[in-house]
Amino acid sequence: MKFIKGITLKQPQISKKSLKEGLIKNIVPIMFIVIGIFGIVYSGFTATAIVNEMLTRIARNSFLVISLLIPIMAGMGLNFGMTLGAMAGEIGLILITDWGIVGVPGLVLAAIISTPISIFLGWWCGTILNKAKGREMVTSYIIGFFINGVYQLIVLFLMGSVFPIKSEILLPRGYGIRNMVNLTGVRKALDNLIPLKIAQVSIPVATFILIFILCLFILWFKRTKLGQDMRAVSGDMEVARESGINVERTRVISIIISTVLAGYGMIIYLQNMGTLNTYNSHTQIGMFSAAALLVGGASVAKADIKNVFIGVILFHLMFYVAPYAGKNLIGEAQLGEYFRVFVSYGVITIALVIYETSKRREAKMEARLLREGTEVKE
Amino acid sequence: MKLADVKMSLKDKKTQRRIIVCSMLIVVIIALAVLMFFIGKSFEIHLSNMPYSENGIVLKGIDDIEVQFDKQKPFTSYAMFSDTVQGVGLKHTLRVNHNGKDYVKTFKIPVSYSKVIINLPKFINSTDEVSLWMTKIETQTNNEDALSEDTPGADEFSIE
Repeated sequence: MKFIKGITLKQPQISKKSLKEGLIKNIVPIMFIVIGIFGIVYSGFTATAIVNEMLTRIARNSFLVISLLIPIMAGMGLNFGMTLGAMAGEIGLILITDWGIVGVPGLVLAAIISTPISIFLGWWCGTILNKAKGREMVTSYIIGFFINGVYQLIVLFLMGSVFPIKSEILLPRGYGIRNMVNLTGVRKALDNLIPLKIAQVSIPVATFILIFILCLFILWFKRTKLGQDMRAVSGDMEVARESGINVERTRVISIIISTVLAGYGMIIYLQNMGTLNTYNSHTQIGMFSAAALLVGGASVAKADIKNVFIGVILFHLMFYVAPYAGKNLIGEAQLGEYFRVFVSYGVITIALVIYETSKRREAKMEARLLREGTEVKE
Repeated sequence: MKLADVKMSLKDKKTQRRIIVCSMLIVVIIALAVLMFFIGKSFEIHLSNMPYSENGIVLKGIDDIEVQFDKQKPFTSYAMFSDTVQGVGLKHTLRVNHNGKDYVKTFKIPVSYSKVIINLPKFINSTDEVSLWMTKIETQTNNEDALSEDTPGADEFSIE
């Protein structure tokens, strides 16, 4: 029993349950660690190959996943609308490829072009999400589909006919961009800016520096007034409103920042890939970035930088080793491919179910504590 | 009333300052974009060692000349051959060594060009006037060889 002056509170014993609670809370990362270990053993990859691939994938995907942190901070859940920023980044890359701008100047120019597009799309998405409070995730997911249609209209019909495109990326019919755009001009421009090789392992130093700067930005942002406002809004919107915080404006700003960062993240992703799949590159970026974050132990209400890196490593480790493990175990690489797609979607489902279940269990626990645990001693 | 006036004027000043800072930021970003455009603009340069005739004067291709474009690795050019190099930025230097003599010219490629052809015999026998030895290649957008639509490629997340 815990004694506070004038009141005696009886607390139920929770020490035996803490291990079970911890396991349930981290079930997704634990699952992925187990799958990853099996995958590494059966894939036949050397340690150097795995480390090399993981470093590449961390550099390629981390920026995108970090862009999801701010909407979670503002209580808006997973921003599947980051696809909008990804499309803005792709438009920037299409234009710089047409103009023949190469190297890091090309990437910077693509980022500058994508910024106003991302800000507009983020503002628009945030405004709609304000009208769908409590259903932000599914709304942002559907908004992503809608803007995908607008993007395809622009890229497939308006580019070349309304927006002048002169290079070979234009389809032979005179309008529309080709399915695959070669990004040879900016391929690995950022990754190879500061080359470093340690024992046959290539490390994209410049990309990691950029990711590090973004992490510092997120840590700094949490301490600013706007960051604190977002946390207040995520706690209780009405209380935040009573405190004088402009809740709607704060939520819109969080989506704008996330969309802009997603645009930059997409540019970093595509410069590493070296080719732009014009109509498909962005379609699953939101889903898999969200999945990676959830794999890292984050929830739709709470996410941290460590969840990003743990999630990217575990998620992409599975992506890398699963097809080869499937091929070596069963003789069918395709099975490994299907397995990883199944697990990717499954992990989001499990994480959402666990979050909802934990929320309800916590609410029940609090109610029980209030009912049976309070004794007032005079 | 007086306090309200002071507060209003402070708010106006704050808004004014915010507008000025935002405008300056936009100008800086646009300037950065323009700078990146000019710094990163790439060109495809065809160094042609083909014969050239003008006003009845015929300049034959020159065998065994050393060519260096900007700070790239020098290479040997032979008569009737053409080499392609890539240049980044507007200003370039071309050095041709023929019979022990260096012919060095620095020139600017107009930003609207994407592909140019430089005739090396003309380059050696002309003045620094760029238009005498450099011409624009018109880009062909309708590629007959690419009539069939290429299939969507796989990204790292696709099954196929």
